[in-house]
Amino acid sequence: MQLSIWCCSSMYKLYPRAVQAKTRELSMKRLTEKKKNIVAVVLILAAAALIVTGVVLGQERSVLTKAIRICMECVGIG
Amino acid sequence: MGIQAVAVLIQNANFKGFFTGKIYTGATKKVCVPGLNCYSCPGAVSACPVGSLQSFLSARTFRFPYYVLGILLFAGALLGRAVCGLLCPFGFLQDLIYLIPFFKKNKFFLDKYLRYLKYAVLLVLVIILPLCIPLTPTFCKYVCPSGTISGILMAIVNKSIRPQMAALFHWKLIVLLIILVSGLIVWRPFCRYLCPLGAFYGFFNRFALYRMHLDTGKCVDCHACAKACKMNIDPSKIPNSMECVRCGDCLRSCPTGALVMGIRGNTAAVSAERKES
Amino acid sequence: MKKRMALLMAAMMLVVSVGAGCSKKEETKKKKKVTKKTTEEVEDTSDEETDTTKETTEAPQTVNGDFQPEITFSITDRDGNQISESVFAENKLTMINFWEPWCGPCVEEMPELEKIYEEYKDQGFAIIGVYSTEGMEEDVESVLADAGITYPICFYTSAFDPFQTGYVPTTIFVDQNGHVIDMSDGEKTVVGSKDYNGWMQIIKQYI
Repeated sequence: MQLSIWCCSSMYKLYPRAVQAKTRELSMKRLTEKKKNIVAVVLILAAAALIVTGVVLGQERSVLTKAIRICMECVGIG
Repeated sequence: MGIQAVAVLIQNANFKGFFTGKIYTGATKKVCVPGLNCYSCPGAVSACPVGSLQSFLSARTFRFPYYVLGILLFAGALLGRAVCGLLCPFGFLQDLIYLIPFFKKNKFFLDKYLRYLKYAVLLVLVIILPLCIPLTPTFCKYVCPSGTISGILMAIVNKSIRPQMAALFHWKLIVLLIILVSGLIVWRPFCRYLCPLGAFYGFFNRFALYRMHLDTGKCVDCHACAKACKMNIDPSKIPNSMECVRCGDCLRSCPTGALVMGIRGNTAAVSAERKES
Repeated sequence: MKKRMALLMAAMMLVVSVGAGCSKKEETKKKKKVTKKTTEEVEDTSDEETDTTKETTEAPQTVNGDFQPEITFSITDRDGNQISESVFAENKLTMINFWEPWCGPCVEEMPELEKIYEEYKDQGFAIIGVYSTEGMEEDVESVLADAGITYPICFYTSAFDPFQTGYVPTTIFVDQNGHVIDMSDGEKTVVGSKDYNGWMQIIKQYI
């Protein structure tokens, strides 16, 4: 175990600095890119759940009513 | 630009309304579009998310707006402020106005501080005041320029609403005029300083599935993107800033193609991932 | 990669299919609800509003040759009274006020309308309030209770469609012959709310 670590670290030291930095950057970036996508998908699923809840409660009809009968003061006319 | 024009036409496909002066009453108005398109526009075939949200918050009996919030969250997580850049009709209008040759000044001292105003608009005019004062959608009533334009369009065709246009409408006309005139000088002033939707979607820019990807391997730090950016962002430092409306000017100005917009970026990280799998 | 895309597609399909499925169900539910409501209104006895002196009969009291109602309808108000186009013949002027319980100006003008109603109901003036929002009955109750409304309030019916401007509040005036009166600007509908004096300016011409 210790031998392999020593091997790795010495190999690591031989690696050019720039490439080391880039690999670190890439591995960090890879993680956050994936994480970001996961967050997005989770949010989309949460959004779907909210929409379904709203539809079950009949809220889309409520949206419809206010969109087809315009309250004039509400849109700043009259 | 093309996508924006198509989006405006789709969201306002009720062309008949511009001749009859009657608003569309079909079932598609159950759905809110993600951008600012007032449902009082004679052509509108959908509902406005901000207006719908306020009507739920301001009702005499409070009902949590699951449906509208779900739509907003969906659009945010999928597109973030790409809604602003691709779908919002009022954003498109500001883009067109900026094309008019005039004195232009995008960077000025107050710009950075005025950007915070839109969060206040979101918090106070869209959420807090409608909750506190029943039956009063404060943002729609006193500010929204999309509604003012819809009102003007409707008044041209339908004379029965003209007598109603009194002090409140005159105030909104002043607001609209200020926004449009400053739009000649500053790019998208409403989006920068006032839009509550932009404030909301901005939070999603970092995570949205459709977002900007910066390939640091290709970036040569020439700052062409920062110079091209009309929102005063440096995309080579912050590709997914909350202020970015995804207009794409930076992508087009990048000499090495380090900036990419999409669901899966072309970064070295992603290609390394692909090699592994 | 592929898994993520598949997950995303599945999520989108779920949303679309649920949305489509639910909206269809909602429409049939809506029809059932409306018929339920009218029967409920007839059976409703726990109304705190005082019953109006205006009771409506099926046949008009005086049938003169000019009575040609532009609107024919038969609806029940919240007190369970049946109202039809005969109300036009029974009054010199009938005012039909379209309102919604979520519309600020509509709710604000209702106390003014109530004031006018109480003053002129004995002089042949009638008002009917019509709203079309479903699922907000508590709001309707609270609006009516707060404003102390005693004139009949009914649910919308498609008989009023020709006078639907798409705006609320909208008001029309009907004379004794069932003819919808043309206003000064040539329009039959008055769009927007008015205060007491604003309405009296119009009503005084006919009462």
